[in-house]
Amino acid sequence: MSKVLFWAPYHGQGQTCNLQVTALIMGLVYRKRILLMQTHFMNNNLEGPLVGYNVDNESDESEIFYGIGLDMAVTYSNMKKIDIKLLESCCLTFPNTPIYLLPGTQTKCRETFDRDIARSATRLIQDADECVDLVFIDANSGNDALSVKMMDLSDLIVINLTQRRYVIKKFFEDYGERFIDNAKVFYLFGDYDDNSSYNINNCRRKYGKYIKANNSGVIPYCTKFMDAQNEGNIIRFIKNGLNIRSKNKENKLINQIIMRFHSGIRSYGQEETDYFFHKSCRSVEKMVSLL
Amino acid sequence: MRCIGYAGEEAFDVILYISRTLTKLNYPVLIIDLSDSNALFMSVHHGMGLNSDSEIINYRNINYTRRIPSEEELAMFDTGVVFMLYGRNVTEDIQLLCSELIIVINTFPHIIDETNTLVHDIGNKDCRIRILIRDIVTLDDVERVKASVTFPFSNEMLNYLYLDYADYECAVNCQYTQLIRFTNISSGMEKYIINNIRTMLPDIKPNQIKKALLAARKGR
Repeated sequence: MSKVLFWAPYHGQGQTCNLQVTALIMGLVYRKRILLMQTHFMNNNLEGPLVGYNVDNESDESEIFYGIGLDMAVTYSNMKKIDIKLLESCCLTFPNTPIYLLPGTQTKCRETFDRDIARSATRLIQDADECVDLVFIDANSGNDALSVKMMDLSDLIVINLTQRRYVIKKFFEDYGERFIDNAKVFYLFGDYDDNSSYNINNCRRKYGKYIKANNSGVIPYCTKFMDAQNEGNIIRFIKNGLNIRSKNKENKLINQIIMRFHSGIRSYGQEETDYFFHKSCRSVEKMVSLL
Repeated sequence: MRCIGYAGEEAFDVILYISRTLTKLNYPVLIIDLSDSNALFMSVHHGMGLNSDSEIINYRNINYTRRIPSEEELAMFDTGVVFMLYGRNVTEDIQLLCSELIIVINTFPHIIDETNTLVHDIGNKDCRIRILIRDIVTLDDVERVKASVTFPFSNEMLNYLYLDYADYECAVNCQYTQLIRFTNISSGMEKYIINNIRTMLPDIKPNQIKKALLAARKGR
């Protein structure tokens, strides 16, 4: 029962993608019941790649999420303490996965959102934390008040960065001291390219005060994953990549999957997708050990 | 940890190609460049404002530095390979690190003389000495070099590479582009890389090394 906050210093650092990949691997491999939610007001696409609705057609979205979502969950939470049944009624679930997706707010007014939703979000998260194993929160980037408040509540803060010199430098200048002594921080580089000189090893050497081997990981760039996102079927992509068979027992499955990707360590010329899964599984393994 | 030293003439291209192939076999690689030439320095891209004089930098999974690392830093390469590039700076205390020293020589008599002096000055003869003769035109050059060399060696420890325009071009491109791309190297160079890795890592099958080489040479 832990709360994992995904946050980035600036918008557009691949935070939502990283959250989706991490949640799916953790849910499918480690069999954790995970609630995915977001506290963005707008300009975020947590649901699309998972659900697969046509993002060009807004009416589809309002039909799919009618009567569910963050707004409904907060309403229930204000009335009484949320239990698993109420939570499930507000969420979308996916067959053969332990993932609950709580769609984001449908409110169009910022003031209404701040007044009614944002203030009660932390109570909702506390209640939801007792119903599931993990709550993954896609928080607003930067110095957003709600995000800062949730950092104190979280058991793990995943800081999403990219291999952009400007972003890395600005992050450590503006926010570095806030996280320097924080043991519950994990640095995650998304859309990662190992051939760049701005690679994770150099980052660990340059920013060794903050980034260490056990609190940092990468999720590589993968063309097939990008296509799966655009087509809205990342769950199938991740399942196929991990070669999940539902009847496997938990311990055997985790060991098999991790060993299969770890055994790729001694192979050569890894195909991009295998490399994506290998590195993503390693990063998730490290996050699980921090939790 | 396998530690191999290169001394004498320029061998930065050979070290780069072998290192890149080893990274494709997922062995950690460290290159310690103690030479005076900037050949390797120019071939490895230094990013993030890191300085190889004081730090170990990582580029395309090859770790590179121009200082002697600490024991903790060397411990990270316990399962990998460390290359020490001495150039002409072979001193007694430094050479103790490597178990094998490859003397790189070419066919010019003045270079052979300088190399004889260099090897003569090496105090520690515990490390195994091998010879690599570069840029030969015919096999007579090999015989001539063998006759001119004054330090002891055995024929099994001797390798040679023909003078090849393609090898020269790849080496120049490695410095210009910093991509470690060697798609057009000669068959002799390819054979040398494979045999070298087989000697270092006898547990790996030759076809695995060949496949790693084919993957590494693309520069991606």
